[in-house]
Amino acid sequence: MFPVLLRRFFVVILIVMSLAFSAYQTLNLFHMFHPQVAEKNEVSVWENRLGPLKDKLPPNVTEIGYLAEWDIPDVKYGHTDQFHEFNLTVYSLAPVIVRRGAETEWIMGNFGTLSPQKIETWLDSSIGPHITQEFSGGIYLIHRVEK
Amino acid sequence: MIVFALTIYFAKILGGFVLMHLLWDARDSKALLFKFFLGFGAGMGTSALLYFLWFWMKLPALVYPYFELTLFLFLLLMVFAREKRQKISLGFTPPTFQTLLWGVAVTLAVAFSVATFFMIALPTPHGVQDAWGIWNVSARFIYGAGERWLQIIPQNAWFHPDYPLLVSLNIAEVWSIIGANITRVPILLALSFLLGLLGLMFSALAIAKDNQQGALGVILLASAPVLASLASNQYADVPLAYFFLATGALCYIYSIRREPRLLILAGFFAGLSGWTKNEGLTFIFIALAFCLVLSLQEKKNLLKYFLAGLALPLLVIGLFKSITPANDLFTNQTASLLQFLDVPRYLTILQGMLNMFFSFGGWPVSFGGVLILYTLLMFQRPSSGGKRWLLLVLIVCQWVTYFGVYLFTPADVIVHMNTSMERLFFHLFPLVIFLVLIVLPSPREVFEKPRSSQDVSHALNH
Repeated sequence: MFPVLLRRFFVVILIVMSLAFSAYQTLNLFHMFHPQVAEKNEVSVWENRLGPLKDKLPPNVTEIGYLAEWDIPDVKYGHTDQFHEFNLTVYSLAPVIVRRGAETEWIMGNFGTLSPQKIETWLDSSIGPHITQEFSGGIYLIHRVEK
Repeated sequence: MIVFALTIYFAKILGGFVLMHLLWDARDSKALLFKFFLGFGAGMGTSALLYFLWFWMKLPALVYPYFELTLFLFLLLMVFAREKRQKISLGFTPPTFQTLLWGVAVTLAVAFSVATFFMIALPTPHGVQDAWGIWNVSARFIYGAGERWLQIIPQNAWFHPDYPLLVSLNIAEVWSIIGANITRVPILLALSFLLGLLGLMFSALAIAKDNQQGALGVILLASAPVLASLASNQYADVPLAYFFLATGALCYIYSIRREPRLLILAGFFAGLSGWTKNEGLTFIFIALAFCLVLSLQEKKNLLKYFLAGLALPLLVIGLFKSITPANDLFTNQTASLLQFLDVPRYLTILQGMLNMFFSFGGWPVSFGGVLILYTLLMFQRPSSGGKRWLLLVLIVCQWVTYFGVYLFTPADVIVHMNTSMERLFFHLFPLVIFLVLIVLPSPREVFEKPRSSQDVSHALNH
């Protein structure tokens, strides 16, 4: 066992070290902190992007389809990005259930990388008659007029 | 609006404290403080259990907050009626210089931790991916879908709908009271659990050892940036660590005070850990085994107390699990079972755990290394007391189940470890600090003047 004086020293060192590391971490973060960043985080940005679509969706709709680049043959996409944007959509539109595919009357399209003409051609051939409303950022609200 | 939300959470904590006091009527100041901090989890936990049952019984969602408020007021009245003739001695003594120094150190540590929390939480108001993708999204479904929310669970409407709901229900209820799903509510809940965990560490160690050891526990825990980081990310891992610590501390304090009612509370908190995250489900069984060993050792049926506390959470978890889709860990059980024969996989996981042990905590130097060094330098044979070794077994068993999860996982084990291991370590982190500090001498013991042999013989004679 160490002498008492040395043991006291260990206790003091542990406390001082803990507080110093804590202060160091806090000050580091303080230097990097910008309150405006809150509006620029990806979830808020995504929610803002889907805001106009939410407004146009009839209030009685409880389920909505979801189409994106990963549904269109021969289109290049990053699976992680597509999955991430799908999850962001699920979060942003909750409690409306978002289902992949086009089985529902109302469908959200997320085609940030494709031209409107290409999307319309594909939609015509894959889901049939529909009405499309385009929003910024490649977001579409698609209403199937005939099932 | 935020003040209103704060008031609601404070009412829940007060309700939890009152419930704790009704179940365990110890009136010394340390026990009262411990019960206050147990009230954080008990209040949130009871609320989430009852709110779920409310939905299950198809009662109108908007009425629930009134029911909860009435219930907590009723419990408060019961306490007032019981305490009317009781004397509560808080044993106030004027603070010494040393106490003030400790107070300053603890305040600084907590202030740094809270400041770190806000500096991460404010730029990410929705939390990080698992927070908004699992806990906050389910809260949005509960809040937005109202009574039809339970019918949505089996439909796989969000990522991991089988994850327990203690956190989500507490967020959704406050949203339903204030009438908007503002992001400050989950931030506030996360902060409540951060403060609750620190308070629980202090008060549990104050009972198990002394106030100074409690203060040292808070300083160590608060100074690890991982606490503020995980809390501000709005993960459910901080609440889970809180429930693990509460269960472990209650079991240990039972072994000192021998009051069986403590085991009712231990069962309740173990159950609430299973209502917080799936990792809590294995913890329930480990804590149950812990209680069984205690029963055998003491030749008393202590299990009945533990099971009494566990009953309500277990009922709710059972009802919930009866409607959820299967967990994605069990997608290909044959392949997963074959992984148990894969020896290099064991080594990969062991290597990963070892690396995490030394890099965990967020200090510029290894927190685990410092803790080991401090233990080696300060260790002395502890005086007889509670069952420390059982607490160690509790921690090791839970660790082994985490090892088993990595063996079993159908996902890429490296990716799975990289995305989850820090959080799994955090679950047991406060309990490990608690265990280390109940074994080691407290600063009070180290700093008190060594007694002369005359003093010792004088004390023995009296």
